[in-house]
Amino acid sequence: MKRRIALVSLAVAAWIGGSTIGVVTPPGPAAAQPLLQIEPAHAGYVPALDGSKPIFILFIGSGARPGDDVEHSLADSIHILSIVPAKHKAAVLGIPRDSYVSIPGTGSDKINAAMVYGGPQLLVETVESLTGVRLDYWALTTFGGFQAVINSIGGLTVDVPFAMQDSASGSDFEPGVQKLRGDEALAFARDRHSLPAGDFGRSEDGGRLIIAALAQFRKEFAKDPSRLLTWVAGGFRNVQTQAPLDEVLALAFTCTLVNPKHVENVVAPGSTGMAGGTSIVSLSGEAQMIFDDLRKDGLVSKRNIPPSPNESLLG
Amino acid sequence: MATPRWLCEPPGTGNLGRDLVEGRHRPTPQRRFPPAVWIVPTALVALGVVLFLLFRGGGGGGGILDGGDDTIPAFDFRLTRALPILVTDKKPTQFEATAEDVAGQVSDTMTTLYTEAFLDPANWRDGSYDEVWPLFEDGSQAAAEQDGATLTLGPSAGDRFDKVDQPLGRLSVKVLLDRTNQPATAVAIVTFKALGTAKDGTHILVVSTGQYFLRPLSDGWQVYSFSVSRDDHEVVPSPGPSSSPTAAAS
Repeated sequence: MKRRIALVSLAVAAWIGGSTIGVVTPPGPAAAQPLLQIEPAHAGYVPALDGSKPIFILFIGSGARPGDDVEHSLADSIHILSIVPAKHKAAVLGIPRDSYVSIPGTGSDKINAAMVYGGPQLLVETVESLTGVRLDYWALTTFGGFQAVINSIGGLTVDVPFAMQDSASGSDFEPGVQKLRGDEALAFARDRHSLPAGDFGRSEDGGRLIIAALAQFRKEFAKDPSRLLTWVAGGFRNVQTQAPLDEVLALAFTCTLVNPKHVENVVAPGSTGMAGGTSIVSLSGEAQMIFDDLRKDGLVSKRNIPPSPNESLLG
Repeated sequence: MATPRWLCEPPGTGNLGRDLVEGRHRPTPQRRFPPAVWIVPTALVALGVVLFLLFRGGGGGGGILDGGDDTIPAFDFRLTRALPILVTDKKPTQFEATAEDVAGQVSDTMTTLYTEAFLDPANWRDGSYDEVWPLFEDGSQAAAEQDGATLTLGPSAGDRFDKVDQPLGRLSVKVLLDRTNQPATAVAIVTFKALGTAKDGTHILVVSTGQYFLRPLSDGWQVYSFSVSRDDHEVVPSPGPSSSPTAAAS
């Protein structure tokens, strides 16, 4: 009996001693093992706004020439960008610059004249009066400023939807995805002679650039978040806005979550005509439905999206 | 003294296993075992206990001989670049000194963050990183804690590692200046590596790379956004006393 106990004791002792020594043996064999990848992981937090209330931003392209008062020149392009943070969605609504509307305190005139009468603030009031949308911010740039913004981010990748050639704007594009320099992007934005619907089509192309910028910004941020500073600084240097820097940063973070594939690009529909000897655009009843829709939740329902003004070119 | 019979017994005549299985009991006369039969197992058990106490690591205290004590490895991020980004038309070169100054402060914050998150044994042995989270702004703190396994050595690091040392870190900082050319926000772009010795003896290169957005406080900088990856992998320890697996894997 005692011999068995002795043997068991020996076995137990050998097991304890052996396993303990095994634990503390220096790691020689590791050299012979293949390298292993262990639990690659990613952690991220984007301080995006998360409210369900849409944020409305008025983008204004001033037609000011060098030496002109930028804030009191005709508005060459007018777009509302609405962002719905909680849904990670957005919409772009272009308003034709010749739209004949009521300008608060002035009377009826083309909408682009509002800035001449009262600067960006009166244009904001005019758009708010027209659409019922309460605008949170405005951003105003010039031809030169627009080019500089595009150049500051190293160019803008745009899917040019159709061939464009126009000596007035300088556009000369084959269809397809291409990276545009500042001057090329400006030509793309200004060209209306290549387009059958003129200023309506041009307004849609302006929206196309805004969405292209959202897409590129999102892509660059995913690859290198610090690019956000480059974009914000490039914008701030060349765009006038009443928005403080910290709010612009918050908006920029919010934009990184918006999927550009789900951003509607809409132009307020209407018809061209004459008033007092000048050509104007009379916005249609459908335009008012779009305004109502946008005001409600910051988005435009599919049923209210009009045909593209460039439809005949899109094929 | 007569020779104990079990010492003379030919092999196979006393099969303990078979006896236990078959329940056979063979009465044997009273015998006296030599002291070695008791001394050797007892010594082995004692040796095992001593070795265990000496070399154990993690889970409530490091061993004595393996360096797994609570000493924090010396560490500082090496600043490789400080870049001012302006929202005005002034020349960036005018604000390089400002950017350098901010980068120094941001570097201090990041050094503290990585020391607390990866190097302080008092934290990782317990999987408790309470000193890390206040470095994150309120809005990002909950997300940071949720991603704690990636942003720190991990909640179960004490079970996995005996030691973490030989830290190396590089950092570049971009500083956004506001309209008055005051620092508004900064991005720290970091690469951090340290050598972990796992409990099974293997060596793990702990690798953390990413970007942290920080905002200035009255007495420092605080993280409000982050995008950080972990890419730990096993490495082959280099031979020799001056070996540096970290450097070898860099």
